[in-house]
Amino acid sequence: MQRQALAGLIWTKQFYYYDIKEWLDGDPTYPAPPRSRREGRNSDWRHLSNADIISMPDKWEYPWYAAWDLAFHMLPFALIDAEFAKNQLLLLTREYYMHPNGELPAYEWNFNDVNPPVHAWASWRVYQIDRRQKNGKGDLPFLERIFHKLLLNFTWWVNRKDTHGRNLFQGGFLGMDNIGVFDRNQRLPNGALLDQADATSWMAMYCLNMMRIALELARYNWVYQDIASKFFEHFLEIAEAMTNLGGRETGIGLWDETDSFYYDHLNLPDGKIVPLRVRSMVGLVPLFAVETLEPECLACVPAFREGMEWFLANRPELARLVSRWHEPGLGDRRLLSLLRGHRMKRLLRRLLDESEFLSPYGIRSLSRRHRDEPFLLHINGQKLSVGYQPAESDSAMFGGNSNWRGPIWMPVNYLIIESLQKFHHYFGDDFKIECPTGSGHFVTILQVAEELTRRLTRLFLRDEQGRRAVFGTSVKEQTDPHFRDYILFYEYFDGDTGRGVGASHQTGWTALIAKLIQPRRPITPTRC
Amino acid sequence: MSVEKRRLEEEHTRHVGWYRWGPYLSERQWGTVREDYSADGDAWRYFPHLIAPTRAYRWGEDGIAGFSDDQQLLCLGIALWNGQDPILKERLFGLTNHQGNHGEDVKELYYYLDATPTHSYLRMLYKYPQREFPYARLVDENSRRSRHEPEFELLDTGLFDDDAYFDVFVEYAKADPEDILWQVTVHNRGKTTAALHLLLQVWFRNTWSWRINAPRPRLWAEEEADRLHLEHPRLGRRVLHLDGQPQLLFTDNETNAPRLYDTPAQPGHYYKDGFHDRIIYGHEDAVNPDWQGTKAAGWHTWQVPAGGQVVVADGCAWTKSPRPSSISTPSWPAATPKPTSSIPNSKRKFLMPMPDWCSGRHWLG
Repeated sequence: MQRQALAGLIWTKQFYYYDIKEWLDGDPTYPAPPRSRREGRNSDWRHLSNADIISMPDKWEYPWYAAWDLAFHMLPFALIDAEFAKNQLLLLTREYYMHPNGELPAYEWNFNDVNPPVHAWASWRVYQIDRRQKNGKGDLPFLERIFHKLLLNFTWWVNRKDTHGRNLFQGGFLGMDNIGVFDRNQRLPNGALLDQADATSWMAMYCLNMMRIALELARYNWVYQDIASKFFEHFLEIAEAMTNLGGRETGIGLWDETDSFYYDHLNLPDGKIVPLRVRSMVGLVPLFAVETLEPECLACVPAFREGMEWFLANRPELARLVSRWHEPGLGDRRLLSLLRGHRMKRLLRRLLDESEFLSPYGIRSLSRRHRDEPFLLHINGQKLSVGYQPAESDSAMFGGNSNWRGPIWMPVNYLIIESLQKFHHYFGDDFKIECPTGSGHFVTILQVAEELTRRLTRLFLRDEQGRRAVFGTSVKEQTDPHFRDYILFYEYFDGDTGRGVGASHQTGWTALIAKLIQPRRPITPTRC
Repeated sequence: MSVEKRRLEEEHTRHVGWYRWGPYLSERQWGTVREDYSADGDAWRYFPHLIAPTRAYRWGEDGIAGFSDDQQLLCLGIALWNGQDPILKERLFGLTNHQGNHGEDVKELYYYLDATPTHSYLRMLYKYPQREFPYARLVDENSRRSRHEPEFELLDTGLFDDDAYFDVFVEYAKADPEDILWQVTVHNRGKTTAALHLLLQVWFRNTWSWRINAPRPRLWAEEEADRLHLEHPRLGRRVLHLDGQPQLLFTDNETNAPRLYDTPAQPGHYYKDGFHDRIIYGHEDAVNPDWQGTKAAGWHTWQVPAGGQVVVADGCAWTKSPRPSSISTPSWPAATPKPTSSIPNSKRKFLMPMPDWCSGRHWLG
């Protein structure tokens, strides 16, 4: 399975050629293109000039690069060719890709679409994987080079996607096509604003990724300490804003205390704030923003540590968002996360509930509870609903090709697993979670991560009856010797049965399974 | 250190060119935003699969199990014909966003089986039915179905139920960055002997039709029918040796304007779809009798015996020296079935030296 996943990843490299200026202006040997194009698709990306080998999501269904997909592809790629992975990540930040304003090109259908900002995360992870392969010698020029470009992109996000400057982010559909009750790209009537749990959490994660990279660079060049401080404080500002939507101390947050879940909130012009109680992946994204700060790591960055200590002492309302654990003889290990222990446990109760998110094959994108209780919203005389649809989409929203209302998607499952590993690193083996919820079976957070990995591999591996879930009820593919060992890596998977759905050769991000089954090396605790 | 690791290290320290050739051909260039020059931006309707054999692409090429250099100046890819289809199978078929009941979807069976990071070895599998490929039925049945029904897939047509299909394995192997072997192995999985036409196609991405006085690359053959010569402003001159005594065909990778736009026929002009006309409809004047053009193929025709029989198609390669190279069978783990045949020694061919490569993002022909 790993061999075929990696083979697909390599076969899915493609020559990609697109020069927007030439494309808009037309060729001298042909009649001029229609005038409408001058104001049309991608007309504000005239600087873009691509002619490179790029890792595609799927060379038939998606034969064009997609920035956030590509970031995920680079993790399994780093296993086999870290240089290629680093160069791909850099490529997208070059001046002939990235917009002068710092926006990354989403994909050719609309370079302006906004996808989750995972480029910094992928850059840091590829750096780490590469460093491990090189016996601890990290590629600092790579990290420094990409960090500068990421600063531009981060600033673009802050200046463009936080409409009222409150550290709460919008951003629209954010890669998860039909997950919302309405198209989140649409402008809402009467100036209402949608504060998105996922957009805001992605930005919190982005802050922590940037802080982590800056701290690494600061070990070699002290000037990076204050930019690390900037991201530390920015993270806390976002974390605080998530808990007080209506301003400081209002207590209305994206977290819903009664439901133990994060929701998007409608911010109405009359000041009312209405939660949209859809239990979806949107509410699990807050898990992704997690980092630990090790005391021995802080020793290398005294200016950062000093700034942090001042901040924690003088901004108590923000300081209480940071958990800490005293390490005898070393100092305090700190956990930076949107969820402290108690809240994380409550969120994991939902995540690991088999009647909600936990399927036999991974975490669903929407709670199965919505099968019997669809979410309903009355807005502008329209009745909108979100119900659980485990396989194909039944609406034409976003082309009707992808579905985030139930199926299992590899990239977000991957991030959940990584986040759990980080939580475990902080909380250790004494912190136990019931898995699955209601089973009476208590395990460590790390064992939860391992259980999720096991369930995801069941999509592809033969079960006791010799069946692979990915092939569903297709007899030929399940039994014929000329079919049954040729695995297809689909775009997403049925939330009940694990059957492959959508694009059938997405050995872009579905190749993450190759990384997941690679044995993990134990975390060296002294490593920053 | 493994051999592949050593290649990667060579590449990353000395840029010896392992990345230069790879599986860089797309599987679909039609229906993309880049090829869309419409006023309304409906990329799927503007450039459908139907006209892909006939109209030259502006921004890239596509094919089945394709291979190219990193600026995609020269492309390799197979074409197949079962004696039944109305077109050659030279690209993967699928439904457009409007045609599929859940949007666009490829309707073919193909699998990526092996690959190394430097593309020193690549293997994939394409499954080709012996009966007529159900193009119309796939479109009709899916458009009949609602969004609430399952998609209608190629296997659902029943075309594979009696195993009347070919397993076509395509392999590439590089002994060094410029020493490349291309090999196709065909298995008849059916119960009766079946006819198969296989074309090993070589063509240039069209870099000359869009500019005034753009230099034009050239492919040709002289009296020996076992080799193709090519000359390209960036690739220089090379010779591509062919195996198995195929019939040589030549045409140009250019839009067939008389067919597409009803412009007057121009004698002495050859088009992208020339091989379709030649092979399926027997139009001898659709290919260039002077054995030159910008797209060429070695055309093989076989009666493949039933079940388990194996045909090894010819390979071709280019190399810096006439030293023979071969695909040494690596010791794979047992997980993936491999073709059972051994490869005859005579199935190796070579191309002659190439000059230093010039690459750079702004050079595009």
